[in-house]
Amino acid sequence: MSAVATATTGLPWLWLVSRGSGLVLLVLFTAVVVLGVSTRLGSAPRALPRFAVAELHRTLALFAVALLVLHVVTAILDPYVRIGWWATVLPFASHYRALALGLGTLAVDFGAAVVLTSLARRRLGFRLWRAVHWLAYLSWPLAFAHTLTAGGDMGIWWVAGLVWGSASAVAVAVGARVLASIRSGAVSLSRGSVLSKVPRIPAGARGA
Amino acid sequence: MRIRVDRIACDGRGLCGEILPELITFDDWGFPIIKENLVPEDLDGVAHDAVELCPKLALRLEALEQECCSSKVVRTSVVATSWTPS
Amino acid sequence: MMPTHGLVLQPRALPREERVEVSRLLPDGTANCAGLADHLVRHGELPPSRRSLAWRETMTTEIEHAGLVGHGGAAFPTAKKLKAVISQASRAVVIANGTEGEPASEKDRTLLTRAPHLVLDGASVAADIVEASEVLVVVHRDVRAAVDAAVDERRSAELDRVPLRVVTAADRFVAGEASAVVNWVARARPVPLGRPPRTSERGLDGRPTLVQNVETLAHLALIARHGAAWYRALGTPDEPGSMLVTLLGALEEPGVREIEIGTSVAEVLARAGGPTTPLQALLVGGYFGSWLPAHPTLSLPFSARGLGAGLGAGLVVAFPTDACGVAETARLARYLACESAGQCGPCLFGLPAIADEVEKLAEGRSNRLGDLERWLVEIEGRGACSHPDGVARLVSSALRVFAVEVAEHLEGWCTGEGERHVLPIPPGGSR
Repeated sequence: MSAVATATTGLPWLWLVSRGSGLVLLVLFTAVVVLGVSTRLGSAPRALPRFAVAELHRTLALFAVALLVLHVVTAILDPYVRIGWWATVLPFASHYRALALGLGTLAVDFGAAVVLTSLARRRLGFRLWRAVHWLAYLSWPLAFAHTLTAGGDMGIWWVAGLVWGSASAVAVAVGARVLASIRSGAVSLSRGSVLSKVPRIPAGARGA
Repeated sequence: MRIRVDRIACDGRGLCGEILPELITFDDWGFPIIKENLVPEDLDGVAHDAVELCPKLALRLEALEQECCSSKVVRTSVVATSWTPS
Repeated sequence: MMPTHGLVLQPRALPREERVEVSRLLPDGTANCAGLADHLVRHGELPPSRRSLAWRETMTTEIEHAGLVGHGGAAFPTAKKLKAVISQASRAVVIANGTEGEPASEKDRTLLTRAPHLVLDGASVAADIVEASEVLVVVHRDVRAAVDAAVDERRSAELDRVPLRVVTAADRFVAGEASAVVNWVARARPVPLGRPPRTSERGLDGRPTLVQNVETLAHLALIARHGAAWYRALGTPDEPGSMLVTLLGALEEPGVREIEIGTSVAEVLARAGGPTTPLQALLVGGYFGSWLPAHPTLSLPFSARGLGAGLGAGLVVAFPTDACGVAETARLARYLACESAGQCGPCLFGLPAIADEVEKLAEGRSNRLGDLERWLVEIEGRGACSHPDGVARLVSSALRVFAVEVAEHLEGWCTGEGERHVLPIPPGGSR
């Protein structure tokens, strides 16, 4: 079918959709990570109330999953490169550019765990959900590495701009989060605070 | 239905009061004060959203069952919870 | 009513005017009834328990008719708690709670030293009523040796169907709370677990757990011997029986006494030799209790209804006119704030703020009295346990009772001796 499409229009549609969706996905996942991090920073909301940030984080994540399906399916259906179906879940199992795609597969595996546990969050309980959610911090860098290795259009100025822009956004968000937890380090409402002295922190600096 | 907070799980993140300002407000440190725990019918869906969105899964909704006349205790059963006993 | 065996010394039923000392739980004067032999001479043997549902129901009904309530602070009806545990129909646990986290209270330690076998009898009966497979006796470290000795005696005499295991309690204010005791035994973390589910449904190892104060169990042991009518012979119709109180402050002979509920407050203080100086107020219940003005409290009956305040853990502090109630309350508030389990926001942040403001008030430089009053109202019911409620009760009652002094402090001066410490307050924080 794609051969027909190519023949009639002269454009390799599957290839284009696959690569284009990949770039959009990087931007989407970047937004998801930045939004997710900012719900933890806890300071007074500027543009959006906190619940809207949380809702947007979820909605974009689910939309990204849908787009991810398109990205993966078009890549596999594309006749110009040979990627088996099992490469969608087994990392480094494809013949074509095993490392680059393997990184993507790993990102999907971890991301899937994050999404599935989030959907079943209430049943699984907070602690299990939170433990698995940490994999998101692993999933994004893998997706980023996949973009750099499997992507390849970095010569185009706006592609490079989007890619490095995404990296900066995540770096800034994570950096701010780390700083915030160091600053209010004495305050911990987790179960480990039993024997700590009562701390004094200014109101509004919560959110560790 | 009644809305309840698990005070130990709650971290004062503040989403609940944004979604349900009719029932929840905050103290000087950002922790929720449940002004009224009985959820009116028109706020049912919103209350479910709040339970779903709480980042610490600290909210839960309990259904009211019939009153036990002799001891005047309202028995509740858990309808929606983001909190599991440890 | 209930069958009695052997030699039983019933309290002499004197007319009210002639009654001087109540000695149901504690032996007369300063005598000890620590040994098993002495205990059996004084009270006789416990009627044998039967393993039948009928017996358990009869016992529970008897306790309900007696109107026995908990003596740990919350005054929860004991029969109700028993029924809640029984209804769970699974292997129950009984915990005799002698933690006594309230530092000024000494009644539980005194009871465990002078009449441990009454407590242990009660624990045994309770275990039979709820069909427990395990009984833990959690005691303050000061009395661990005494309780161990009593348990050893019972083991030799094979008195108890379920063997008793003694555990030393944690040394924190909140450690005496029911779920905190369970948490301490299970995980060495003496902090409350949060409200649902109640320990009577899911407590130690997820099993239904009956947590009772040691004094409550001692009363239970006597009801098992003498019945509900006997128990109700003392006290008021709404609050029957006797209770232990710890009398402190400006008194000639401070200490633990057993009193009949409903006795006038002045007479209760007279049991401790009476006040040494004129009093301005009383602190009743515990550090989480209420301040009450000396007038009219001294002429009121010592009961929750009579005073309009819970009797809590039976602490009564006689507060003299020359001390400063505001300063004392500030010290208490700071101690209680440091003793927070630190698990929930309102307590972790609200209590230090309250303590800060009361301290500033005591030092004559308060500027946020309105905020303080608001915080006291807002904090009620918003903790994982009732610790913040206790602080709110203490400080609110102080602002009421010492209103004149508060006004003076707002002007920047104090008519009392702020440096005079009436209450024994240990240094707060982790120990």
